[in-house]
Amino acid sequence: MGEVFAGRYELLEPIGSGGMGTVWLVHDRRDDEIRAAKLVRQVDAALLLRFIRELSTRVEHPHTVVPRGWAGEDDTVLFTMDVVRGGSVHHLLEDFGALPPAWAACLLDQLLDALEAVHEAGIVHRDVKPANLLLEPTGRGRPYLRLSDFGVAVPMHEPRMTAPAVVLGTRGYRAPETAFGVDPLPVQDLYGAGVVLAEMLTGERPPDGRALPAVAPPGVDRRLWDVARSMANPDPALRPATAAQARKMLHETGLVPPSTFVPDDGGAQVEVFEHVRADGVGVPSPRPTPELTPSLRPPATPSPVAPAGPGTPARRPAPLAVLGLLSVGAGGVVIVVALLMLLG
Amino acid sequence: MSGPDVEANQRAQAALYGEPLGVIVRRCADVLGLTQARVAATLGISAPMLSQLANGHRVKIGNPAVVSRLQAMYAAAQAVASGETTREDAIAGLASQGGAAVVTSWTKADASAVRALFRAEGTAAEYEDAAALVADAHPQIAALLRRYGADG
Repeated sequence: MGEVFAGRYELLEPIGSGGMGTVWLVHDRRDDEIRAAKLVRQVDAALLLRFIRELSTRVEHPHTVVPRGWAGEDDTVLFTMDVVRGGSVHHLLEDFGALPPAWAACLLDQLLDALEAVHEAGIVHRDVKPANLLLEPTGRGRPYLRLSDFGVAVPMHEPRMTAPAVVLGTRGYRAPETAFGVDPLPVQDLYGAGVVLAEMLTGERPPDGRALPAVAPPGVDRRLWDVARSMANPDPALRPATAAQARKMLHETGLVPPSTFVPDDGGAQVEVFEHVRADGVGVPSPRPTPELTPSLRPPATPSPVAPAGPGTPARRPAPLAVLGLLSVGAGGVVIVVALLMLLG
Repeated sequence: MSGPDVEANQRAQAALYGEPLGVIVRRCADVLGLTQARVAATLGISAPMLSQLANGHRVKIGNPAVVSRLQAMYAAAQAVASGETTREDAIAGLASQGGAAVVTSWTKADASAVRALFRAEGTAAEYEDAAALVADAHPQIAALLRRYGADG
């Protein structure tokens, strides 16, 4: 039996490491559910908990993964989330390189949808990058993105809970102005989303902190490139001001597939695999598991307003919701570096 | 998914890559002493994708960067097999080609130094007092005083 945190969450196995902490698959003994849980060592555990509580009540959006439960023990906080089993956009880029334009447009559309809700709730995510854009295992169907890892998110217009002079985020996706300690603002998330779009279009992360070239690289759709270029403008004043504006620009390209349509992959056979098995890992399944299919399973308890079709995973995807593996890409070295940073 | 397509896929792989990918990957893993998961991580590809390719459920490696990393791995395996280099050196050479670190960083001012500075000028009780005085007009400054002066 694994270690039990706060008398309730049995730690089963680590499934990744993200901003500020390690992600575990845990068995919630009270609810008898398998969940993803992030363990964060934090001096200001009380403040962090307050924030998590706010976050979970303020952001309810089908394209986000927000903390649902929490527990504290000594100087460590554990918070639980749905498990999203299809890996992340990081994995998709690793496996397929540059994505077809309709896939990139479809994924960005969902990301902007999520950011709109997050910003409306007065929160800035601050760590928008491919590894934090989790995917439901939809196979060859329409992809379903969920913005995750609010570990370093902050509320706007409130006393900071983090120490002053903190520079947060991930190099390459962090808006240049954040290096100078500016207040958190939605346009910083739009910068990260613009970089993600450029990376989805080219298969490579663009060089740090510089404007994207005016001319789209060979083979890249010019209309989408212009959207990326505008969102990832080093000057925050020249970016779209809101996620809604960016989304409008995106839709004007005419490349966002209508809802429920599977984006055309032009023969690239793009597929979102199942990265975390639905029956948990190394543990007896707490309840009978439906037969695995590459497509999305409907939620265990469908919410009354959930529309049919690919939109269904909304709030409670599956009894064994799973958080995607994070930071698998560059292997152990990166994880060790991350841990050193966290403990440092 | 499985079934008759697999053999056709493996033939297509042999035409593209010289041999079916399952054979190539297995040889690399055996010679270098790596698990399938380590092979996937070293190639910068997801484990499910690697297993689809190795099983012949999918023909082509989508990401061109992965093809060149697989070539490098195959060359390294051959160098080990022929005794030109050791396993350890070969693996170390492959690992250094890994992708850039994309890790959330958390650069934090040294809070203890700031606290020391505050405490040199007053006691916790004094900062608590001061915080209470300004709390109504300047709640953020009050929070700052409490954070660094009072509750240490």
